[in-house]
Amino acid sequence: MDLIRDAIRETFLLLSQGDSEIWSITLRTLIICGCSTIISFGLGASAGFCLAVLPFRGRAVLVTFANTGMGMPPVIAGLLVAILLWRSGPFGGLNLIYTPIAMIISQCVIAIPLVAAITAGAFMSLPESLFLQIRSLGAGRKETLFLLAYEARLGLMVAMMAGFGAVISEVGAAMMVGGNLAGDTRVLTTATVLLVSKGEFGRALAYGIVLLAMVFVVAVILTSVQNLARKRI
Amino acid sequence: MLVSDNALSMSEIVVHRGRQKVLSFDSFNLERGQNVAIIGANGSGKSSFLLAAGLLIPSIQGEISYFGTRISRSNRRDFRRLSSISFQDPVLLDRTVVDNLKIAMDLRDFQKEEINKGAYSWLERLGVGHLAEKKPHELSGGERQRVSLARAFALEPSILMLDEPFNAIDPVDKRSISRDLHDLITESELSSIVVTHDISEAVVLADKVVVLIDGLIHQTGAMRDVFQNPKSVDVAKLIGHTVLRNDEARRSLKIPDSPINSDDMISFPSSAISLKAHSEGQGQIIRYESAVGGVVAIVRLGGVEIPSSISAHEAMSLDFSVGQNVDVVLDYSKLVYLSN
Repeated sequence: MDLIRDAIRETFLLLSQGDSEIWSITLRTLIICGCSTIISFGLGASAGFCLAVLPFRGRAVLVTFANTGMGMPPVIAGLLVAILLWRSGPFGGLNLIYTPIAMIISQCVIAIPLVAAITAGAFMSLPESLFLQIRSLGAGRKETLFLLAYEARLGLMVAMMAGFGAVISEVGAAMMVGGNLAGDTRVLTTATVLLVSKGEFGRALAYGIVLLAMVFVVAVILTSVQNLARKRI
Repeated sequence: MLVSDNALSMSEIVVHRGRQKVLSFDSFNLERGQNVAIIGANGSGKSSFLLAAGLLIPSIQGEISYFGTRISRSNRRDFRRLSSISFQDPVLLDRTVVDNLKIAMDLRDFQKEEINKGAYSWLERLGVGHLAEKKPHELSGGERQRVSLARAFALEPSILMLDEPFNAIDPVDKRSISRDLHDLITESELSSIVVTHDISEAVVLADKVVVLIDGLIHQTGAMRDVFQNPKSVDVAKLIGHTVLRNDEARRSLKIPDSPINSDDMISFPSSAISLKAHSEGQGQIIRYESAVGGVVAIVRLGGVEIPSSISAHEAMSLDFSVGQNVDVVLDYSKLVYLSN
């Protein structure tokens, strides 16, 4: 019981005193995960749109791959990126291993299939007649994309939130390709793992609470979106 | 650019949806100012016809021309802008009603002032001006249909295409919308195609009819010609005629010598039969059915079931209750002889 009581006391002390290390790691986490979310949303949503709307051979196979990718274990994504970026690997010359960029790449590998699959689902759930009606109004490709994206906006928001949730909570890939270097690639999840291994439960709990707060904010936004969608029905 | 007497010409058309051939016909022409109804049962290819005519799905062969200009991949989008389509289930964007019209007009490159003025003006003309700031999910089926039609007219199309415009609308709305639609089409001198399975809609909105069965055009002609002289059993059944074998009809309806073989068919509209209440009549009303154009009383006569058009009001009267004996009078001038 003393262990838990001490840990909670230390947690409140760290958070209330504005411990500089916590906030610098939090800021780094937000920057890395924010970049990963933006990139994976851009690429994943584009891929999802193509999968849903463009008729081409092998589309069903790619949709299946995207759906499979939704369940990809982060350590597998980390392993793939580590092999590619390793000093002796095909992209070793870029010297990206153990850098924030490597972490962003691995997080994108995790999030892109997720975003693509949810986006494709969102566009596929729109009625075909909507697509035909927009084309009949005289819309070109770009205008069709924007009008359909607006109609599928709730699904797109869910895809973005899901992507953010996936990248902020993963630890295996970040550890593998980032190396958990202090002041450089250490983020909330990897720092928590390290602290627990050292028995510093108070600080680990403080990191955990900040991480939970972030996830909570994401959940609040998701719930709001879902409520908005329900009201429309 | 608009040089031909035909607003739309389609020839040697074959359309597939997925792997299935849904449409195949030699020729269809829509003259300028003409209003054509495409009638057919569910799954006959009517909607595919409209989508192909609206350049939204391709024909794998043949040719489509708008006002004499052959449509190709390169000019398809430009010519798509000459038509307006209102779909079976009104498709509205998840914006306000007026924005639905404004966005559509903007896509057709209307000037900003025209858009602001025209959008509200067309909503008013279709009786939904007061709904301008509502969202589609706040509208009833009839209101959505009116907004969809307002958008279609606001685009000032040369060819108006309507897919089952009164589908899923209650009878009161249906009557008022059909009246407004008829007036607008008549006033505007545009060419129109209305796709429907309801003959009464075709009668209200068109002067020429094309009968589509299983993706094939079975008969084309003036509305009156097709309704009075169906060329085949399938067409006769589709337009609501009763079709009996010649020997069956002669036996039950006492038809004098007919110019066809006993295996051939006789067709007639249910309006050809009139009933007179008579306690010793040869026929007996056995049930009522909802049918094209209203209610029909089914009369058993000489072992054959004969439908007769009757108003709902008459159906409710004691003279024409189920089980009542009636005299059956046939208007021989409405008989159509069909070879089998």
